[in-house]
Amino acid sequence: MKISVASDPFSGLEKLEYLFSVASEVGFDGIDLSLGYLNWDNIKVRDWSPFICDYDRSIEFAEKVNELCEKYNLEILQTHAPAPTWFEGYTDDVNQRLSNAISNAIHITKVLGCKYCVVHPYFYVFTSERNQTSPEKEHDLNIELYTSLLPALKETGVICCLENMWIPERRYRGRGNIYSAICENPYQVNSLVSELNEIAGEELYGFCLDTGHSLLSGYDPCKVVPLIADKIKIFHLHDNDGVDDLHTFPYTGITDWNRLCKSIKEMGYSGHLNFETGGCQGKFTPSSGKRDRAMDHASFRAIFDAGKIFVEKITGEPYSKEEQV
Amino acid sequence: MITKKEPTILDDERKSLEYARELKIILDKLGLKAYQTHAPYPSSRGDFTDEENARILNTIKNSFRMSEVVGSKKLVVHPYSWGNITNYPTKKEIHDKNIKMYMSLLDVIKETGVTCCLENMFMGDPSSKKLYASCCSSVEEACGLVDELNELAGGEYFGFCLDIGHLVICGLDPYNFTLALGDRIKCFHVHDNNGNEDSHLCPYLGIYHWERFAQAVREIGYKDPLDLEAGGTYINCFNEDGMTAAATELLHAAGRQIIKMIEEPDKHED
Repeated sequence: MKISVASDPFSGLEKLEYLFSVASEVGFDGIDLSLGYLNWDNIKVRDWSPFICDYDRSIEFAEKVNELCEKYNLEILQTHAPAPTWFEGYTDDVNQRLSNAISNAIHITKVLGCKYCVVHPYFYVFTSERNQTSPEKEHDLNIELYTSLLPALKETGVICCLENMWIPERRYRGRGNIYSAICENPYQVNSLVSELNEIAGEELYGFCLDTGHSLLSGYDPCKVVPLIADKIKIFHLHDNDGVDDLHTFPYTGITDWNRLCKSIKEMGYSGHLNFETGGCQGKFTPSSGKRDRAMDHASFRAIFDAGKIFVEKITGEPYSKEEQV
Repeated sequence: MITKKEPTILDDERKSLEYARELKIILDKLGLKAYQTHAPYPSSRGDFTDEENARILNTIKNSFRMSEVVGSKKLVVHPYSWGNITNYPTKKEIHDKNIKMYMSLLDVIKETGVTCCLENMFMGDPSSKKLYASCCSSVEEACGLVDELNELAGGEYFGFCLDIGHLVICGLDPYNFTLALGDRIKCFHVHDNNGNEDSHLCPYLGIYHWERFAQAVREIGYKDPLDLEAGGTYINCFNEDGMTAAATELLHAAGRQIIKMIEEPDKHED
């Protein structure tokens, strides 16, 4: 069973190379390549064009990442499409550009030799504003969003993985309770993923269970796992305090990792273990933005060592690098 | 932590010293030094009898002797405080009890040559769980108590251990506190938290801005070791087989990063 770590908050080829060198040194098998979080203001600007909005530049980027993978003996085990994926109330043009960017992310995934791309579902982010999307409309918009990716998915064979989301309540001085959003409910996951695969006529959609998001939303990830076992293709594993989406590494939050590993074992999961722990990498960054290699090495090692423990709990065998070849 | 239950080795001077000698052998074998030690706590309890509080005081005296054996020059002794906001003693009662308690240690302090370090504390409201500043969590009280004790002792026998995490949960700025205490600070308890709980996290896993701490340490000219007292919630890492080495490395790296910021403020990053 391989172990990977998310590239966030490292972006751009120079920072990615730094990340790859540290991750490789620590022993990771692979990377979860984040393809960027889109700026909410910039996306409205017609001529704003990050590389992900352009097919040729996207492929060029992927080829350079492949070179890094070869240099540092790492694989891209999953990718993360740009997010957010849809803006209600914006013009069709804006949302079309977003859909194109996600399609390009799927093509990048294929060039990287990777099978899974996580694409956030559409959901209305702020609970306190008027005109909230009804569950029916949210469902229809997601069907529209995900089916718009079908040509790219069919061409590449990449599996598009939906993810469980949460909503912050911001009425009280910017802080407040967290509520579950789309795909936190396991029954909804089963229904939505099945419907999409039925439309596709083949299995092109799956699920990425974000165990930290489940925890925040009050869903016990250990109980969610068996309910959506046949939909789960990959994970976002990370920890938090049950209050904030900290994306910190295992054992520094409140997740019961023994129970979670037991659930993953019992579902018969044989994929890789992926840690989306960019929150702690972000915390270890000095305010100057320049990084301390020893600090990064230590934090990545803490994540990797947790991964090794999980592999043993899930497979019953100690983690072995040689077996991954 | 001392409880009313079974006596510990700290109750017995001979056993304490034997234990300290064994610790020293292990430290030497590993090439490590005991830079500071921590006495049992609480140092005194309002709900204990005089006899029970005398027993605690005896364990603290033995801790001084153990510190001398392991080579530590600083022993942290919590001030008499009250962990609970209800029935909180008066400021004068706390002051008087602390003067009496710390002065009763003077003989063993002189005998061992170990500096007795006071620490800033907090207390909690059991109903709301809100934490509040308590003994030595005001600059005036901390400086005043150390200065008064040293004046009574006739020399510099008392100092201060500044607990950064305790300041953060009390909403107090470690920068200002460090500067005000200045050379009274003999050692630190460096740890992080979320601002609400005394979770004793590894620096950077909580909310504190460590560059500000580094700036303060640099300004007062503190050169001694930094102690990472990250053994609370963070111990979850240490409880899991296979995580100890990684957790220790992370603590060490965090400490090194802070030291780099103190020593080379413009060059601490790669």
